[in-house]
Amino acid sequence: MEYYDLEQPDELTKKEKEDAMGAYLMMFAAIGAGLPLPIINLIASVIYYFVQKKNTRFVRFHSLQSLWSQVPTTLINAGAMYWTLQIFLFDNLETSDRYYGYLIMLVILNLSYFAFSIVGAVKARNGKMYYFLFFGKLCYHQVYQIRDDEGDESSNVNLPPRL
Amino acid sequence: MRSGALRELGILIAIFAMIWAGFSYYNYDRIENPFTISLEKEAKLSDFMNKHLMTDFEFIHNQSLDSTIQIITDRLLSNLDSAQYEYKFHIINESEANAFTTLDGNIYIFSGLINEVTSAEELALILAHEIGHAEHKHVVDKLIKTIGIEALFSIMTGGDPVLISEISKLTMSTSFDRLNEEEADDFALELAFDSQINPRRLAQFFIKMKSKNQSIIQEKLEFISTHPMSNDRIKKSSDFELSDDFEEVPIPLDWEVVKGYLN
Repeated sequence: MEYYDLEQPDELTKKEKEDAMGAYLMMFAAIGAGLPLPIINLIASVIYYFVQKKNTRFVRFHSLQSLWSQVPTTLINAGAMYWTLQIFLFDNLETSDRYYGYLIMLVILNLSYFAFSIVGAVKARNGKMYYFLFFGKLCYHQVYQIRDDEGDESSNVNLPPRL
Repeated sequence: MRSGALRELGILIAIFAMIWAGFSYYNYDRIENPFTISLEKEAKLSDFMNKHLMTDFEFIHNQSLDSTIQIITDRLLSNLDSAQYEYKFHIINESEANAFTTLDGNIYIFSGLINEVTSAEELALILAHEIGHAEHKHVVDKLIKTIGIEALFSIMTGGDPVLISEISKLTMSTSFDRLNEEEADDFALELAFDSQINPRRLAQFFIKMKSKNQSIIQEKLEFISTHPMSNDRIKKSSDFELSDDFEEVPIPLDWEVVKGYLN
């Protein structure tokens, strides 16, 4: 598998660095806007990714990493929300050690997600790559891999006549 | 690249699964109460206590009364799945309206309580409450919390009479905390319901005791001081949800006759 070369910090414009940083700051913006529902962050990230889709690979990489890493966090937060509502609102379930264990795990997950996002944002601002565990590799592969269909005739408007 | 990414995904999932499992199986209770005592040790300790109580109190051994209590408790215990103890009920000749649980399923009923209640069902609910304390191990917990596990073990090995007298007093006179009382109440209400005794009779008894408590000097109504009653507890019992087809099956005892056995 071949990959495009990585951009180095001095090759990136200030705008690109800030766009990349913005990907990680989306969730803070969403929380700041008074939207504590975890799904809002995810939606914001998806929108951000599609806005940046035509941007350079560096920006796309960071947007995608921020997006993918939010998926499991959001799912686990939603799980906690569902579980809690079932216990305290609908009285279908009871609190258990597994529930408390889940909540503690959830807090640790969110804190680590938060910490990694801040580091990611700072690194992106400095024009550096930062790879989350698993998601870093996944996004690098998705963004930087040279695909056969890229740059071939199909994307060109002007084609030679069929002979 | 693919195997590397998958390995990292595996690591991530493993880390968080372990955190979840670790905190789930982390025994919160054991930290609060790091020692428990085995059933054999409990039985031994309760033997000491029982002997001590026998010297301090006058026990009533009356066949008619014993069989009365047995009729009531048989109804309850036959509806209790997997009881932790083999329950033994003792009647003490005291005018206080009280009942208390010690260790190893020993439950003591004061004759004053038998005089105070108006029906066998009412007494059944109080006994169900005491069984609830035993099933939830409240007495053991309280003893360990108050005097410590070392002291308990020293009593068991040495049988120091002074200490035994102290812990006997402790089990009789001090109250459980509100949470324990609520747990025992919940247990009693469920058990009564399963035994086809109307759980709301507990509220009835509480209200009666409470109103008496306000008019009579408290010393005769020990049950109140050792079983602090909040309105919540009364409400819980009086609001206990009964299914439409619930029908109380009366315990076939004439309570006036039972009271007569006391004399």
